[in-house]
Amino acid sequence: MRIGNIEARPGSHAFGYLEVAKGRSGISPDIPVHVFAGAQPGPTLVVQGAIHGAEIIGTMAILNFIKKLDPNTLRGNVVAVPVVNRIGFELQDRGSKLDGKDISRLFPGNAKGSVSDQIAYVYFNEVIKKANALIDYHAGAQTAYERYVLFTIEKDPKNPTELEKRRKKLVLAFGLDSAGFFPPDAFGANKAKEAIEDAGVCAFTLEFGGGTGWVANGDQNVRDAERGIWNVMKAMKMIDGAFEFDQPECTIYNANVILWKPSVDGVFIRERRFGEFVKKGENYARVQDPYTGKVLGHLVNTADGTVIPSGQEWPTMGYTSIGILGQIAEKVDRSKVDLTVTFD
Amino acid sequence: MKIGSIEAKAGEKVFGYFAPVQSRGRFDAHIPLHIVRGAKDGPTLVVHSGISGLEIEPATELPTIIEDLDPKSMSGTLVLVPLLNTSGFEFEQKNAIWDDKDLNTLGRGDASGTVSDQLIDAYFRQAIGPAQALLEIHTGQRWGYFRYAGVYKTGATDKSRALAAALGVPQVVLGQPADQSMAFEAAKDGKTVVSAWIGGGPGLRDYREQDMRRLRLAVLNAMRHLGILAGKPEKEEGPVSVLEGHTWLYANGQRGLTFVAKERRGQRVREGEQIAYVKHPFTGDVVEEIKAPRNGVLVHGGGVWPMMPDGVPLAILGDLVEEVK
Repeated sequence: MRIGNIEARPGSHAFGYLEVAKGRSGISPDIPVHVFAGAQPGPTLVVQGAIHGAEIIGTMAILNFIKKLDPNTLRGNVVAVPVVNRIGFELQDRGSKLDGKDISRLFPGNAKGSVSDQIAYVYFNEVIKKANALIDYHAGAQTAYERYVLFTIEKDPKNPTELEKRRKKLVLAFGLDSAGFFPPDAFGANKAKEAIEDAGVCAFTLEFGGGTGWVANGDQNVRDAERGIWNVMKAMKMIDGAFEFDQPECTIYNANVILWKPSVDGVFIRERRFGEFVKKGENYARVQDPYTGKVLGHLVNTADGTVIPSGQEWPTMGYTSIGILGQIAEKVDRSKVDLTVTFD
Repeated sequence: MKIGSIEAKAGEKVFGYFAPVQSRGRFDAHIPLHIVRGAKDGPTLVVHSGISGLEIEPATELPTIIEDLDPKSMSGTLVLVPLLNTSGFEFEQKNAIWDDKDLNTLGRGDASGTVSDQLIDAYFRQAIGPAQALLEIHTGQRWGYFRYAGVYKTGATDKSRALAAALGVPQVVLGQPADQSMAFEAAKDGKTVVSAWIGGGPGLRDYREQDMRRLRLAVLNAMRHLGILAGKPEKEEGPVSVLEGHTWLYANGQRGLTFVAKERRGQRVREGEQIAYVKHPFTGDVVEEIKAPRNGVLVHGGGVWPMMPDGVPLAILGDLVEEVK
C-alpha cells in the first residue's frame, strides 16, 4: 500500500512523513503516517489523532496500538496517523496558527488555497479516500472531559444506506457505553463530513477523554481508546478475536440540546454530572464573580435532557459548546447484534 | 488598615480594586482585594492566589470565605486576593497582558519598571509589607496537579513550617528552592511564608470539590493558627507528612509526550526507579527515561498532562522528617 511517498509491501510496516505544504518560513507541517500492509487482502482502516492539535488522547492510543499491530496477521491495511495537525500539536492549539484554519473543516481541501487548505487536499486524497473506515479521535483538550462516540445520523433512519448501516455497527463495535449524534447543522453546515461520506468512507468521531479528567481517568481512557481500534478491526474482519466493551449495552443519544456561553462572564462552575437528567429552565452551571464570589448568572438548560458524557469543566468559557444534553434515542444490546461489516 | 484607596476600620469587611498603575491604553492594572479587619488587634495575614492567569480555580472558592467571616470575632486582619493577575485571567494566559511578564518572577517589583513591575512594587509595599504572614496559593494550571505546602529555607523557617503543617494539606515540603517570587522576598524579610500548592486542571473533573475544601480549610486554618480566628486548626485528612525536599526533576529537553507515574505520588521510590518517560509523538518510541536519583518519598505535586511546558517539575522527592498527627 502506498500513501504519498510512504510505501508498505504486504506483511510490512512503513513510517514516514506525508509531504503536504510549506509555510512562508519554509516550515513543513508534513504529516507522520504509519502504513501497515496486511499479509492478506482486506479493507483499509484509517485511525487519526490530533486533527485538533491539543486533543491527544487518540494520539496516545494510536502510539500504543502501532507498537502491537503485526502486519503478518493482518487482513487489509491500517493507516495510523497519530498527529494530523502538527502545528496545532506543537502549540497546543485546536487549529493551525499558520493560517488560523481548522483542518477538520476543510475537506476535500484546496490545492491552491492556504497551507491548511493544501494540507486538507493532500491528506484527503492520499489518506482518507483510500479508507473504507475512518476513526477520528477528538477529546476535551485541556479544558473538558468526554466519553462517547459521535456519528452522523442517518438521513432517513427508516431506510439507511449501506454506508450508514456499516457505520452504526462500527460505532457500536468501538465499545463505549455511550454514543450520540447531533441534529443536522447543529454546529453549522459541515461540508467536510459530507465530502468524506461522499467519498464512500465510513467515518465516525471519538469524543474521548480530556485534560480535566487526566489524573483519575487518563490511563484508562488511553487503554479504552486503543481497545476501540482493535474492536473495529475485529468488526471489519481484519483480525480475529472477541469484542471487549464497557458493557453490553450502548446508549445512543440524540444530542439536541447544546448549551453555549451565557451573556455574563466570570468563573464557570459546572453543577451537573454525566447522566443527570436536567429539566428545561433548570441550571446547568453558575457563573461567579471571580473576585467577590457573587453569583452573576446561570447557564440555564434550554430543553429537557440528560447530560451526555461531555462538557466544559475549566473555569473560563470560550466560544464553543459548554454543555451537551440529549434524549435517549436508542439502547442497543451489543450481545444480540451482528457487528461485523464487509466492504465490496 | 488601608491599601491604596481600600480602607477597613476595626470590625469591618471591605472589598475594592487596588489600582496603582495604568497601561498605555489607560486600563487600570488592578488587583481585587478584600480586607477583613478584626475588632481586636492581631497579626495580619495576606492570602493571594491567581498570580498566573491560569491559576484560577481558587477564585471560585476563596471569595466565598469572606462571606462567612465575622470581623467582630476576629483578632487581626485578613487581606485576601482571590485572583491577582486579572489581565492574564481575562486573556487566558499565565503572564500579565500589559507587558507579557510572569508576576511570579518579579520579586518585590520595581517602581520604575513596566506596568507589571510597578503593580507588584506597589502591592508588595502596601499589602505584603505590613503583614506578618503570607499564604501564597498556587495550582497546577492546566498541566499539573498538587496537594502540598512548600516552605523556603529562608527567613522564619520554624514559624513557616508550623503554619504549613497547620493548613491541613497532606504534605509539607521543606527546602523549597529559592526563586524570584513575592513569597520568597517576603520570606527573606522574615515573615511567616507558605506556598500552598493545591489542585490543578488535570484533577478538576474528579477532585474539584475536595480541592476547594482543602483551599477553604487551608485559609481558615492559617487564620486559626495565627490566632486571627479562635480555635485550633481543623484536620479533615490523615496525618501531615513533613518532607525535607531534596530533588526537583524536570525533563531533559527531549520533546514529545511525557508520562509521569502519577499513581506513585505520596509513596516511597527507590534510587533508579523510573518515575517518568518521554515518548516520541509520532513513532511511540521511548526517547527519555527519568529515574529517581536517590531514595525518597514522591511529593503530591508536579506536571501530569503529557504536553506540559518547560520548567514544570515532573517529580519532587523528599525524605520524611515528621508525621504531624
